[in-house]
Amino acid sequence: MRTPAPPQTLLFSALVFVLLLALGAALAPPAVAQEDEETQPGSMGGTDLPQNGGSSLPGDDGGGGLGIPGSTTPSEEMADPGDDPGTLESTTAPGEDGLGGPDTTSDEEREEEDRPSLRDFISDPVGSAVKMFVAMLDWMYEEAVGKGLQEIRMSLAKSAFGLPPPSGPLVEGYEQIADLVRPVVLIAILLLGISMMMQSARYDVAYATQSALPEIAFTAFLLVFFPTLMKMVCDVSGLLASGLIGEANIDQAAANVMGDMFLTVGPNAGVLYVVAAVAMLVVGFMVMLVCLLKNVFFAILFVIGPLAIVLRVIPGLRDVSGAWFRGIVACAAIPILYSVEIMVGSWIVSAPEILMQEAGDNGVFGALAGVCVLWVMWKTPFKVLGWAFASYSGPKTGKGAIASVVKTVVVKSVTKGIG
Amino acid sequence: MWDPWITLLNLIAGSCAAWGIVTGGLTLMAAGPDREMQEKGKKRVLNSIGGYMIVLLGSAIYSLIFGTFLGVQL
Repeated sequence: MRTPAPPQTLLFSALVFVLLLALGAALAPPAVAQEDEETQPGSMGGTDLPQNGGSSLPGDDGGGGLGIPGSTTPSEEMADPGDDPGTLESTTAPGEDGLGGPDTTSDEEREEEDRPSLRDFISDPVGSAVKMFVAMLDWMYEEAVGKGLQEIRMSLAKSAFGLPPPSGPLVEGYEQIADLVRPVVLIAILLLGISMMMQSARYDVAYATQSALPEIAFTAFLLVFFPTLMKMVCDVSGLLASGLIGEANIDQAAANVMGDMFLTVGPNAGVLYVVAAVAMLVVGFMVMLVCLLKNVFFAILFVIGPLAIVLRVIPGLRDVSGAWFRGIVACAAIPILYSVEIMVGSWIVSAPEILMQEAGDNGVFGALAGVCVLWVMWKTPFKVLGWAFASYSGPKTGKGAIASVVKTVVVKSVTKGIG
Repeated sequence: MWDPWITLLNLIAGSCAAWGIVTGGLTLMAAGPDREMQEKGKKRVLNSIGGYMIVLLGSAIYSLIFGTFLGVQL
């Protein structure tokens, strides 16, 4: 024996049915206007535009596959244009036939017209699904690629062409470490004096006064004035970077390389555009990440600066200090290199005939060139920092900086011990 | 402001220098007519004085740079 459905279920079903009806009624176009259009083949959706105006999109005349009785689907309209001349003209984009007037339909109206309705979905589920998929892709393109590229472009223009000068907690951290390592300078002075007193082979008055003592004094000088020097280095780096490209031109150059075309065209522009846009988004994100890491790396090098500076006066560890200094120089050089790269890249993207005669449609080539420029920008910091620390992980040791330091110290100690 | 590390440095260096001066002087006195020993003693005394002068000079530079010598900083 079947049990009757509970009243809550019946109520819920009725509510869903009413909601579906309301949704269908809301999404369906007004039937009266479309019936009027059916009787006037040349009219353009109720407007007074000429027949060949072509200012409206498919669906304006009610034949856009919206389930109007007697109307045809878009595919049927395109396949048999002779049935409805007004519809044919309306499917032609303005300018394509050379007869079209100005487009008076806004983008929002077009989106509203292209949106599939419930009736449309019922009558042509596959076509509606494809439409929805394309609309979804379009939305994803605008939201992810378009806005992502804009964000990356803005952050690149802000952070790539300069080095933030150390301040606040960074300087305080530096001073704390500098206070900790300051006695190393005194120990070096003491060892130099005692070595002279013990009449060691190398430590005579000439060596002490002309070589060792100036070295120690320079180390102390660096410990004290290093924050000021770094601020000057950051200023010089930023000035050179913005001076090369021109501060007012940074945004425009970034816009050229990052492709303004991606912000104005959608996925309908072609597969290559979409692929290039996605590739540019990925590489641009990596460049942005590298810019951030460059600043973080510079901050780390700055804070451990006192340790590296005092290593100058310790025999056998001078190379560590040299590698650290080259790292600082590399960080300062990266904005300048970025400036040159984006300047040349902007020229290439704007004028593809520089590299490729008869380039034809430069849109895709410009997009690919922009991706290449960003790729070079992404690789630059690794190459520069590789130069900075290359002597420390070269083919001699192959084990990196720490292994090299340990090996040097151990070998020198053993050699002296045996001697 | 006087840095206590400077005081410690000069104490150690001064002790070493004093030891070198004393031992060099003793060597000089004990050398007699031996020219080689005389030179050795003289060299030790001079090196001890020179070493201490280097330490003094270094500590002066240190104090000047770090602002611990009568509050004067570069």
